[in-house]
Formats: sequence, structure tokens, C-alpha cells
Amino acid sequence: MPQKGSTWNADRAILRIRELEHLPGALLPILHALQEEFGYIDKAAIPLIADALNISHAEVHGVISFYRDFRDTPSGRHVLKMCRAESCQSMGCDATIQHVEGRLGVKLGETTADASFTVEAVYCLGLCALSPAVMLDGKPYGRVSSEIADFLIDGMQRQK
Amino acid sequence: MADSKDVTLKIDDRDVTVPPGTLVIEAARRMGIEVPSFCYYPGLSLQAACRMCLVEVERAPKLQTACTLVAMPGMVVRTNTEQVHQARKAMLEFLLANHPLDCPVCDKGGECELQDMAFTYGADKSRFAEEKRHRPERKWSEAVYYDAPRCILCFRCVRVCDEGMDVKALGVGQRGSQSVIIPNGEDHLDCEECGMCIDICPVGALTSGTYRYKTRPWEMKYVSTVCAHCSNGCKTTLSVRNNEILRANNRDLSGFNKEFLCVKGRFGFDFTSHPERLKLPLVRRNGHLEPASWEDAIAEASRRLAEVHKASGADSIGFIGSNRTTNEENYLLGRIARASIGTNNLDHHRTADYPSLIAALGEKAAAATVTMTQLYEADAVLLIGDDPTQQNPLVAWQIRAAIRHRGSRLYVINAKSIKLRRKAREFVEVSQGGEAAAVSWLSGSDETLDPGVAESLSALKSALEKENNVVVVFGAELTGAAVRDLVKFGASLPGQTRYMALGDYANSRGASDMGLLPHLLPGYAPLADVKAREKFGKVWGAKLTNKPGLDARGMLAAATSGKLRALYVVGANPVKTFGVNANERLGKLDLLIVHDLFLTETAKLADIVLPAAAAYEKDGSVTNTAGEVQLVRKGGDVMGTRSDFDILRIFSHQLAEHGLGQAIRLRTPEAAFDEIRQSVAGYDLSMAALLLGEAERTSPISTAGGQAKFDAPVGAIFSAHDTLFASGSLGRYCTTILSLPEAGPKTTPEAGAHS
Ligand code: SF4
Ligand code: SF4
Ligand code: SF4
Ligand code: FES
Repeated sequence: MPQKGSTWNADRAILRIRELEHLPGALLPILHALQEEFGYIDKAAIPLIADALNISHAEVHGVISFYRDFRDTPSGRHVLKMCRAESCQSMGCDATIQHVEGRLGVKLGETTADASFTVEAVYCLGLCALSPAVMLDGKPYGRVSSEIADFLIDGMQRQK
Repeated sequence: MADSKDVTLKIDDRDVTVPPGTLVIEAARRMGIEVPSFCYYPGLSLQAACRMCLVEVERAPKLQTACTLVAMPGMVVRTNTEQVHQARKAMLEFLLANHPLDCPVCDKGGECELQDMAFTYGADKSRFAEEKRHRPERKWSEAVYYDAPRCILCFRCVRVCDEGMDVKALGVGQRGSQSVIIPNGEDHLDCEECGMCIDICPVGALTSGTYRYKTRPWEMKYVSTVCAHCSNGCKTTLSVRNNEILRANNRDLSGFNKEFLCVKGRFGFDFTSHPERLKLPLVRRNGHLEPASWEDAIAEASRRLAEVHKASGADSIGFIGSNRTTNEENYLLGRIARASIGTNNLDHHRTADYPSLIAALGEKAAAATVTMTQLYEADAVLLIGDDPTQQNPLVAWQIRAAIRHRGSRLYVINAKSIKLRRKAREFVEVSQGGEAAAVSWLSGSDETLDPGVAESLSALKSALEKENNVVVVFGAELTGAAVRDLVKFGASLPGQTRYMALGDYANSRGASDMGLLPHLLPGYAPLADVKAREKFGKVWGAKLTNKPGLDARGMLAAATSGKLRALYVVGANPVKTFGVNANERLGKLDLLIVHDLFLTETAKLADIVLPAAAAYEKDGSVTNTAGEVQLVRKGGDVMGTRSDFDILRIFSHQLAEHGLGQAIRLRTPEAAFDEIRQSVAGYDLSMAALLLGEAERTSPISTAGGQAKFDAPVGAIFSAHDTLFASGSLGRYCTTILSLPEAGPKTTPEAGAHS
């Protein structure tokens, strides 16, 4: 599933926060909801969340930056997470990564100029038995060689 | 005394008995055994982040963190074994993995806990082969800088800002080896700028904007004194090099404030070196203030004052004293007014109604007031008026700490939604200026209140009736009869109700105690009391008149009408404080003499201006709003200035030569304090304790014997409502504080705050 549209809208954000603020430990659910809504968590959301939960701006920012999964800038339409942990490294993920970087013209952590792809490093997807592993728009794939990576990217590009 | 619940355990082969719940690290400290620690800080929540405090515990499979381990009966702890040493060494290796070890250029070098530990346990080699991570230093505000590579992530700063200050401006960003401390404003701080985080940081990661890269800790001398700003009287240590004050902090945790200082205590010392400091006496010649020598200025001042005295009489002369000068100086000023000149035209900017409180409490006054420490020990606090977070920051800190550590309960009556409201069990919002009416209602009068207010007040009343030994803290909103009502209400509550009146400035209480008041002699002895007049008359070598004097507003009005011919102002800025139209109201004076640090609105109109030494530049004593007396010590020195004590003493000699009163023979503040101890009720304090740097509480009693009057005229007592970033006229010269964005729009000295 490609990422959702990512125009920040304070009113929509407030609605999502309202829905969840009563939960115990509401911060993570709210962050997930905003990321789902906008594809990332806009800076402007930090004061809104802090006020709703009566916690500090620094704490909200701290939690966002703690979890790699939370983004503070919009992502591309597709997000490709490539595992760089021990097992995948020993099974040759570096070659695949280099290939993908070359093909898309971006480095890990960057988004392509046409905003179609964001490529990110992750450290362990729990798929070590199928190293090297990647995750594309939330779906895991194992034994990803450069050819298979091409195949996955082609598929997404056809899909638009 | 061992309690039956106390636990006995063994640490390093010695038995120790501690109350239940004591942490092993504290038990060890009691025995003089130092367990190294970084993240542990008494009074803050436990973190167990640094692992420096690992100790061996018999029958525990691995080393335990002494900072979280609760002492248990029969526990056997060892802090000094090979395994423990190995562990400390290994932990240091981790802490130093990314640390730049730039001690030679680090502000903390020489007084750094990490440096000390590395010295004791550190290895000269690290097994980390990776390159150290570098991050640039960040300026978070004019006051606070953060250098991430030096940070050992103990989170003391985060906790003190959250738990201690209730500001929550700091947090933790990223994770693992990437973790950093982050400020609430993304790349800057938006906070109370207290600097608590800087001084609590065990390393040089947080540094002070005013002190960084200025000097080394061993190049300075350390002078223990009292903060010059609000009335709370925090102990502060000035770090002084070549007579210049470079830093103020309380790292030695001395005094009742322990580690606490607010932004003014920590950063508000630079007025001493402000370029506009007066360094030469000024005398008005042909309409202009021109520099003069000390000899000429004082000779002219005394000659002209004697002329006015001769021409228009003692009561044509008035004296306005200061909220910041020492007890000794205030005492001398009162003596000059009453004994040398012979007038009771004597006052100061009154910021709390101490006399009414003491009168209302009568014989019980000493036992029925609380010290700052007792405020922390209170189970229930009723706060009426004032905004302690802004105006009395230590009071706010003590209340927060009582709530956090001891589960104390806070009740608030205020016209504004002050910050402490967040901590209150009950909050009653009254209309602007409605505090007195609320208190009158509580005391059982038939005051008619808005039904909503009455309803929440009765809820508050029934809550208070369930409390025991309530402490009532109140601001300048309550004066005169309202204070009497308050004490009446307090008497109806269970247990012993005790009180604290909140004033504005470092010696507001002392000015009142020393009798800078038209109707009261030092120690609250009424002027009408013949015995008291005789007693002071004897000490001062004069017969004191009981003719009522004018208060500050009265003197200023008399200056307009021409009845007052001369005004002597010490360390005050009445033109600004009382909002007088300067030209109109002081224009008719024949003589205006002003002692001050700066050319204030009042000093500008003076005929003679005498450049005074600041509070940090002299010895003496001050009394905080709770009646606790402490010594101030000379830290800095500014060429050309003299202490108000010396000026007044010399002045009395010159007046004596003109036939006015006796020369004051007290050569030093110590000698004057001796006289105060003997003659001022409540001030017979232990000199030994004061010299040791302790605070001694005065025990004033109102000798009025039931006829005490609660007649403070409307407008005689008022607070300047200084914020955290203001400190009367003095605050306008605190450059660092004014440079903080939180201090609000820049004010020029012209447009600044009140006296
Ligand atoms: S200066 Fe005070 S209020 Fe500001 S971050 Fe540091 S501890 Fe918090
Ligand atoms: S800045 Fe200082 S107090 Fe804060 S976590 Fe780092 S080392 Fe500890
Ligand atoms: S609370 Fe008052 S006495 Fe303490 S540091 Fe602040 S201004 Fe000074
Ligand atoms: S002091 Fe115990 S873990 Fe830091």
C-alpha cells in the first residue's frame, strides 16, 4: 500500500488527537495515527500533542526521534526499508543497497526527486533467516538480491 | 534514635542502622563511604542510567545499583572489592566512549565529577577503536549552552527541570549511542532560565552563557553571601576574580535553598559591573550634576541638611530607606533620622505587611511563623495572593518539593490563574483585588461575595478544616485588617496554623524589622511606647520625639506642598516606585540627597548623589521574608564607591559637628550588629551560627499589648509584582537577564520596572 497523501492539516490532526487523547499512554497511538494520516509527523503537531496530553514539547520530540519509524518529513510515495543488520550484511545486503542507490539516484535516508521512493536503512526486520531482507510499503520480502530489488521497484513504478 | 522499624545492614563489614526505605547509596554516605554516582541525585526520581554505583551484595547473582537498592535487614554490601573496581572502570570506559576528554578547555575542568572519577578509576586506555562521535556545541539561550559530546546522559538536567522546576523544558532525543538532550524549542530553550540544569550537570555538557571560557575554577575566590534580589534570601556563592564577580551558584548546597537559585540569583550579578555604575559623588552646580570628591560631597550634604534643620525644623526633613540595604545600614539610617535630626518622617517601599502580621500574632509571633525549611515540611499550605513562581521563586520551589517529596497539599486563593495552580488541590479564583474580601468571608464576617466564589471558598474551607497545622503564605494583597482576619481564620483551623508574609526584596523584612517606618521603632516597638523611646534614646544619645512622622507618600506630597524641605533617600527610587511626577512633586525641595548605584529617576533630581556599594560589595546582615537572618559578605569591589554603612556613619560625624545628634561610633557592620542584638527585640541571635553561614530566625513580638492597630493606609503597602526577570530598578541593569527573550521586550533603563 503506497503512503497516504501528505499535506499537513492542523484541523485533521486535532481531530485525530481528540479521538485518542483519552487512552492511557496516548502518545504512541497519536503519533501512529498522525503518521498514518499524513505519512509523517509535522513539527506543527508537536505543540498540539503536548497540550493535549499535558507533556512537554521536548518529550514529544524525544519520542518521535526515539522511534526510527516516525518521520518528521514527508516520505516518497513508496518507502523501501533495507536491512543493514549483521545477518543481512553477511548475506550481501551492501551490494543490493548500492545497486538500489545507483538505480534511484539517492542515498539511504533520501527521497527521489520525483518523490516516488524513499529508501531507508533499518537494523533488523526479524527476517534474518531470509537475509538480505527489505520491507516495501510495510510488506517484508526475503532473499532480496539486486535483481529482486529491481523487480520490486519495477512493480511499484508500473503501479504508479 | 533507633526506631523499631529501622533496618540494620552491613556495608564494608560495618553495621549501619537506617530508617526503612533508605537507599543503600544513602546508607553508605551516612557512614562516610562514597559510592560514585552520576545519575543519582537526592530529591529527584531514580534513574539508574549511569551504572557507576554498582556494588556487591551477598547472595545477589550480579552487581546491584546502590542508587536504587533499598536497604534491607541483614543485607551485606561491599563497595570496595576487586569486582566493583573492575565494574566502575568498565562503566567509565563506556561513559568516555564518545567523550572528547577536552578537560583543558572545559569550564567544568577542576570541579567535574567525571574528571574526578576518571582520575580515581579511569584507565589510560580505551578499548573502543571507533572514532568518537562529534557534535557541534549548541547555544540554547544566552544563559544555557549544550555540548553534546561531553554529555554522559545522566538525565539529571531533564529531571530537575521537570520535577524540580515544573518547567519541563528538556527532554531526550534519539536513542542508544545517538541519544542527546533536547530543548523544548527545537533548537532553543523557552523556559524560566534558572540555570538549575547547568549546575546540576555533573560534567561540562551544560555551561553557563555568562561564565563559559572566562576563567578556571582554581583561579577564583569563593564568597558565600545572600542573593541581592527577592525577599527569599537564597544563599549564593560568588566566584570572584580580581574583585570582579564572574559567577554565582550554590554548588556547595549551603543554606536553606540547597541547590536552588532562580535566574536572578544565578545570572543577576552583572549589575555590579554595569557601565552606568556611579563611581564618583555628584553635586549639582548651576543646575548640573557634576563630579565632586567624597569629602566635598559629604561636607556639603551635611552642611546643607543642618541649614534646612535650622531654618525649617526637624520635621521639614524626611528619610526614605531601602529594601536592599543591610540591617545595619537601615538601623543607622533610622538612628540618623530619629536621633540626629529628630524626626519620624521615615519610611521605605513597604512590600508586605509584616507589622500587622506580628501584631496579629502577638506573643506567639515567633512560633507562629515558618522558616523556608519549615515551609517544605508543611503538610498543607494555603497560598493567598502573590505569584511565587515569579515573585518568590524559592517559596514556589519549597512548595513544589513538599508536594513531590512529602505529598503535601496546596490550596490557592488568587485573582490570577498562577502557575502553582497546577499543583493545587483547590483553587479559588477571586476577582482582581478580591483576596482580602475572601479572607474576611473565611473569618466569618458577613462579607457578600459572588455566589460562585463563596461556593468554592466553602469547599476550600471544609478541606482546610480536615487538615492539621496549615501553613498560610500570603502576598501584599493582604494588609492591615485583612491580616487580622486571616489570623482569626487561622485560629479556627485544627492544630497550629503558621504564617509567612511575602515581600519583594532582599531586605524588605529587615527594613521593617529595623524600624524604617514612621510609627514603629526597631523591633516593632511602637513610637507611642515611652519605654521603648527611652531605651533607644539612651542607646542613640538623644531624646526621641513621639510626634507622628510622614510615610513615603506623605513625604512626597509634603515635598510638593513645600512643607518638606529636604529628603534623604538611601538606595530607593521613590519617583519611580510611587509614580510621582518628578518635576512637580520634588521641585520644591531645598535639598535632595540620594545614595544609589545608578542615576535613577530619583537620583537625577538630586542635589547630591553618593555612589553606593552594591549588596555584593559589603558585609552585613539581611533578613529574609520569613525572618531568617543571614550574613552577607563582600565579594566584589568597585573603585570609588562606599557602602551605605560607611556613608551614613561618616555623615553622622559631620552632622554632630553641626550640632545635630551624636556621632555614630560603630565602626564596622559587626559592631552595629552587636548593638542591634542588644537593642532590637527578636535579634538576640547566635553570632556563632551566623558566622558559620547559617540562617537564624528572629523572634519578634509586638509589644503593643493588644492595642496594635491595623491601620496601614491604602496604598502604603504594595508589591512591584516583579517577574522572574525583573528586580525593581536594579533589574534594569542586569544585562544578562534582560538579554533573555523570556524577559520580554527590551526596556531601557528609562522605561524599566519599579524600585
Ligand atoms: S534553565 Fe531552568 S527552566 Fe531552563 S531548561 Fe534549565 S532547568 Fe529548565
Ligand atoms: S547535560 Fe549534563 S545533566 Fe544533562 S544528561 Fe547530559 S551530563 Fe547529565
Ligand atoms: S528566589 Fe529570590 S533569593 Fe533566591 S535566587 Fe531567586 S531572586 Fe534570589
Ligand atoms: S548512580 Fe546508580 S545508576 Fe547512576
